[in-house]
Amino acid sequence: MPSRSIAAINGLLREDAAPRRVVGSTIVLLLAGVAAFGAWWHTGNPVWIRAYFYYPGALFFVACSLLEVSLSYRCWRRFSPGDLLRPAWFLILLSAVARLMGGLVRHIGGLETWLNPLSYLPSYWGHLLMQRSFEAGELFSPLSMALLGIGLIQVLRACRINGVLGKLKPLDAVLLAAVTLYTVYYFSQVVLSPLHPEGPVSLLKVIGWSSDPLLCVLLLEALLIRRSTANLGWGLISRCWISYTAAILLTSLGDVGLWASANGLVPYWLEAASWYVWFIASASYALGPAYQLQAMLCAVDEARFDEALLASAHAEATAF
Amino acid sequence: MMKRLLVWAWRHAIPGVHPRIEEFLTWADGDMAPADQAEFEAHFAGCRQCGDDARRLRDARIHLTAPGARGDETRILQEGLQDLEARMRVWSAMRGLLPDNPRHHLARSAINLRSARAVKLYFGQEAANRVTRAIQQGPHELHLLPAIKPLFNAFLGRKAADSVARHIARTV
Repeated sequence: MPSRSIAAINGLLREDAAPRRVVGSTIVLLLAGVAAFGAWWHTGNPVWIRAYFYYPGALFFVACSLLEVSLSYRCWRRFSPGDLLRPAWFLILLSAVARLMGGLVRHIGGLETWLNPLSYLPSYWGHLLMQRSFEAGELFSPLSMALLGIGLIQVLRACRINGVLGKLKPLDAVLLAAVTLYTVYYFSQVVLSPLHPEGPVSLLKVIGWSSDPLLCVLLLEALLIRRSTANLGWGLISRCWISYTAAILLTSLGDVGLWASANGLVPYWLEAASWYVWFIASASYALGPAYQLQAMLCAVDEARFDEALLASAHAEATAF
Repeated sequence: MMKRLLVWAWRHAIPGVHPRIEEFLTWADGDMAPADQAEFEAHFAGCRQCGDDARRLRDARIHLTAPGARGDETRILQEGLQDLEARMRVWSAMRGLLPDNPRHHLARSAINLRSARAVKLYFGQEAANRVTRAIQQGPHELHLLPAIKPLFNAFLGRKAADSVARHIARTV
């Protein structure tokens, strides 16, 4: 039994075990979230849910982004100059760095927690800097989306060149239309409204407003990639791009959820569920490069490649 | 400008930045200036993968330019045409342009079988079905490996794709 445990630990420590680690830690975090929500519901004390989002939640966002940066850097390094997807992975790396910076500035530097060094400053300066840090965190989201969007254009180009580019289906068009309508509605009610319900217009706000149109473009790219990869099956490379698609879809869902709950359009239980969507989106962003690196490691290691091919042949035989 | 910056980076600044394919080819052809050659070979000291790639390229070059290899030109040309045909079929199959063949038999050659399994591992079952379908359409079985290589090149990078091709071919 101990040898089995050691083998399990060794398996998790393997370089290509990142997807399993990400999925495992997300499940643990979500279970803890359900427990915190239950405790809050039962006792009526909001400290449970606040502590969950301020500590394990904030750390999870930062850890996922850090992992994504590390894995995308390793993926990018494994592509040679002149490779079709090398520029795409460089842009994905920059996008991950922007997401990490946003996470650090917003979720660590912008909240009054023990994790935040600013909270140890004198009260006035501490609060002022935390508020500024929280606002500055909004800058990184559109930056990260723009970089990812340009990177995904390269991926779509690779799909087209290799004849695997899929077409949108009616359901995709409906989804895209819903998110675009939401963006148009938001712009008409908030951005273009002479009343400016969100307060005076600042440069930070203008940059923040670009998130929604960028998300529409990202969603279109993600749906096209999803259709292209879904046409092929569930291989290691397909999983990488399906993870990015899931991350973008969940980000759109979380964004719409935030707006709907701010306007009181959804029941309370659904509003609470939408908070947890961000964790799954964050994990999906980390899963993309994790699967790509797994595919690349499997390619260069003959033993792993043979092992994977044998497993595939065995699955085929079992299916027959 | 960008090219010069990259050349400078792989030589001096960043050890992880590898030479471009053009440099490999110039070195394998023996056309590199002595000073550049010394720097290029110095890179191998810290990068085993580049050293292996360069040596393999040079060996292939020597093999092709050897006196006995002249007579093989027609065979090489024929193989090139067959590879091109296979690539066109695979490309059409991936786009869904080839009709489904009701006779679902597996690839006959071991390399093609392993190639189809590699496509399944990396891209999925449907992709593997399509490439298998591509080789079933013709009167004779095509070589699948050179035809699927561009797909791996695009999504895994040339180095990892070369490794996949080597593993498929070596263990048969």
